[in-house]
Amino acid sequence: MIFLGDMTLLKYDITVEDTGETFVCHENEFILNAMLRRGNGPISHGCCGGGCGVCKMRIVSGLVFIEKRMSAEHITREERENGIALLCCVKPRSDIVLTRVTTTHELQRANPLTAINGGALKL
Amino acid sequence: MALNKLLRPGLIQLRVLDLDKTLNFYKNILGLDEVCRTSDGRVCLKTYDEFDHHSVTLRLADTAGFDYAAFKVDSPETLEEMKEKTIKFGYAVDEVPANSNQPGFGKRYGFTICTGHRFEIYCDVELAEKGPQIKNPDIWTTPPRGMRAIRLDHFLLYGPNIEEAERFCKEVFGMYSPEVCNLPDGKRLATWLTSSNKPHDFAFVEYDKPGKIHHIGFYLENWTDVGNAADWMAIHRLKRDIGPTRHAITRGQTIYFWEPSGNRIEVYSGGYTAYPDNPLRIWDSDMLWRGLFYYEGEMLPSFLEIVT
Repeated sequence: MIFLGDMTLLKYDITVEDTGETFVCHENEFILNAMLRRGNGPISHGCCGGGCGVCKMRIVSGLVFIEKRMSAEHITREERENGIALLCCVKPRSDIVLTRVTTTHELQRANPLTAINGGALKL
Repeated sequence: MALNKLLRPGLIQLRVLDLDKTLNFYKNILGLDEVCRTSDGRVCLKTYDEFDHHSVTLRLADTAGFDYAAFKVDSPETLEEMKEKTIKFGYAVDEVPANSNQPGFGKRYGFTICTGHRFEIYCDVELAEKGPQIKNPDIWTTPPRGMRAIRLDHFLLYGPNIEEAERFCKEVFGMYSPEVCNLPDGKRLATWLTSSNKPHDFAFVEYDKPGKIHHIGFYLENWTDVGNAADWMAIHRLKRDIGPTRHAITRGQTIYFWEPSGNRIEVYSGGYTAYPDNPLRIWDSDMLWRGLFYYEGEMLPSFLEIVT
């Protein structure tokens, strides 16, 4: 299986604190893509463009490069300073430890859609 | 196609997070032409088959989503009449001077409706330099690119109190609903509105947060072009939400996906011909999934819950 592209790229371990699982992400890959490539992850995802805020997590430790602009509606400056990011916008620059946070979508559940949406977005 | 005095949604301004990347999508993948740039850096675009100056404006911002939509009406008389009716309905109206923040557009009246969306109306807009031919016309002058979008077709807005919004569109815009979806208590969950024979010029879904947009729909020629659009999505790794599939609601053949700034786009073909005298089609909310995704017949939470 060849999905890591250029084998000279640096590879980092991404650990999800909530599940204890670890997966590999190379330096040129968005963390969300690595999570999707692995087939499952602790979070859902949406637009993959930084606009919808579904793939929001806290970076507990490690360094990331924010390559894409994250919508200010979902990541405030304060959150950003506290290591909260959209995984579709960031690439690793070291091994990373992540943990879940409440997303804007979870906070917005009190709407009529919930009634017909059953379990809502699977998290 | 218009049956009524409100002709069509003629313009939408969207916020994007990355102008260069997103513009590249609209131009080279969706297939729109860049018409001009404004002094404040916004970009105006149109499809190859639209006559008017432009139909989509992109604005770089720190959030994605909907700035406003503008509707073309048939005459200066209608424009003034709708302005008065809007004030009477209870919405404050402002005036945007001709050729100010949208090049080529005449005077516009703007107002914010109960769902938190700004709507505008106008009757004058210059014809595009690079529009379809009109004398013994060929089907195009330069080959359509990418997904070959034909026109800005419709959009779906999320916001509170869509029953009032529906009433506004009927009473002031003279539109009608071919189709609605109701909750078990009889309250509206969704309504599709048109002023033409299109199944919808836009739609609303009830939502607690105001001013949100679910998707912007572009019309494609046929089911084959929907497949062609799917190829472009796969080649360019665009995140797909659902499709190719068929709606029972509107009967459109469709795909939903996200452009690089996270605004959801629909590419759509077919759809029934709506008439204002046809009976209203009514969906129960527990059957909505079948109405939305006729082939799958099951729910897709990301579809209803993710908006910008």
